Amino acid sequence: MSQEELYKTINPVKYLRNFVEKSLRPDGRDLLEFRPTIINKDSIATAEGSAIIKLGTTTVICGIKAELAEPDSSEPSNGFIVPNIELTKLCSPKYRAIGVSLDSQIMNQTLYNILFNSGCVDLTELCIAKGKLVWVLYCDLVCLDDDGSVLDVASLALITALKSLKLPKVNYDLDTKVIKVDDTIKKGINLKALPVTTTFITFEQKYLLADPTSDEESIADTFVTIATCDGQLSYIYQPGGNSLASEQFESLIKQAGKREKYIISLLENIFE
Amino acid sequence: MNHELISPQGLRIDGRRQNELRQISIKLGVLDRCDGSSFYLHGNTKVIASISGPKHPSKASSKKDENFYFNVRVKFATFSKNGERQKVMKNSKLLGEFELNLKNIFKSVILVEKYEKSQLDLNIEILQTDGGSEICAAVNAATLALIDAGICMREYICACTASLTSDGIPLLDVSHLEEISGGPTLTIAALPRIGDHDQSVSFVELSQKFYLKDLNKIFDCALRGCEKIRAILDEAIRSNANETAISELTDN
Repeated sequence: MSQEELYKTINPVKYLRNFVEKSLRPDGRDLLEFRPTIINKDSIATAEGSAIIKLGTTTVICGIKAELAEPDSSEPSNGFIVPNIELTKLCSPKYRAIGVSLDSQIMNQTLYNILFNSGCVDLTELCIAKGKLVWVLYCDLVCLDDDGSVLDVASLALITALKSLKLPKVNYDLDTKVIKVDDTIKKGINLKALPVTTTFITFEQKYLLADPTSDEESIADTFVTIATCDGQLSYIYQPGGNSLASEQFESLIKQAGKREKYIISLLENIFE
Repeated sequence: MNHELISPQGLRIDGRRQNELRQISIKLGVLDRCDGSSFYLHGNTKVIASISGPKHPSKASSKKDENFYFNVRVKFATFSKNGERQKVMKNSKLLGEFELNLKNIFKSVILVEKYEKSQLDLNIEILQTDGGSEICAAVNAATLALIDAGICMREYICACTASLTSDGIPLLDVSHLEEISGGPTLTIAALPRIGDHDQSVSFVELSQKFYLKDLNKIFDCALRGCEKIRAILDEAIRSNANETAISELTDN
């Protein structure tokens, strides 16, 4: 083990502090700089919509499978979107090998909140026959590599996959109750907004770091995830920890807005 | 029904010749958090394999008191199959058999003496499949991941399928369409022939039946397929090692 790695293992906090005091991070980034983002859509041919996103080495793949179901009687023209992320030993030794962990359940709920707070998808678009037949979109995310900021990558994978979604035309005869699926005609769904999330951490109560790596996350005071869409704030998530001053919050929101512009420009490039 | 498998011009349903493999694409070291990983694309099947270890045996493993702990976990992504969403299979017999086969195949080829009392975890994630013999893709991906992790092995293990038309023509590397068209499918995992050292077979699975007199033909076809795959895997490993060596040299 090199001297540097030894120091990092023995005293990770001091190790990071040495860098951050000079406004740098161990991988050479600025405090508020993001790792390179790679977006790939339609990666999985067997899924109705799919995307693979890489942020540095953090990798999440999203595949959407659409199924038909009866709608809820209280909301007869609403379809369903079910995000489900898998965090297992494959992506990081800190997770369990199999089964559903608390982390993935929390993230599922957070992804759901991000999606619906922004008004991204109008569930009535998934309706085929009111009160009788709707689409259920199972959005399954698999984290292949967890090097921090998984929530950012997962939410980007989710909206990219939703944007690339192609649903076949379905005919439902109300009288005979026969369902006919026409695979030759495929149409996507209209996304009203594209929420982009940005995760920050605070370190030693005064330093704000954007896009933390796994090592930085493990010694952070607190996390803040901010979702913006169309330049407006749509979701803030801070799961406890140290408090942030309101000026710090404001600067984070500005950074999140800048990040959103960049991500949206990437998406526009792909989906022209 | 079988004569449609190969046209009079000698072309199969997907336009391949009788002894042509489907498209293979390989990427090594795709995951950062594990010791070795590979992405393996074969026709319509996409598999990611990751190796974690050798490391200190976990509590669960050390209860079994073996000499070498090799844990294999296979997961089909829910979006991996055409049609219905693949439900999560817990304690499924199919998965159990799959994992046991992989375990036995690799235990026979890893130099276990070097890893006494250590644990090796193999994770296979099947991202996309058209339904045909995922075990072949899993074996090839696992071989690549093991080599990427630097685990000492006797030889490459390559897996391939072969089939037979009703006229007795052997077909190499069957796609799912050809598999369900009714012919027999032979899946083998073998240590291919190099130099004087003869080939040996580690895993054989046969579906359907055919005459014993055709056994040699179909077996040879599959073994030659394994040799071709070994060459492809070897080339990918060497060029990856080359790139790594060059980048290490230029860094220093």
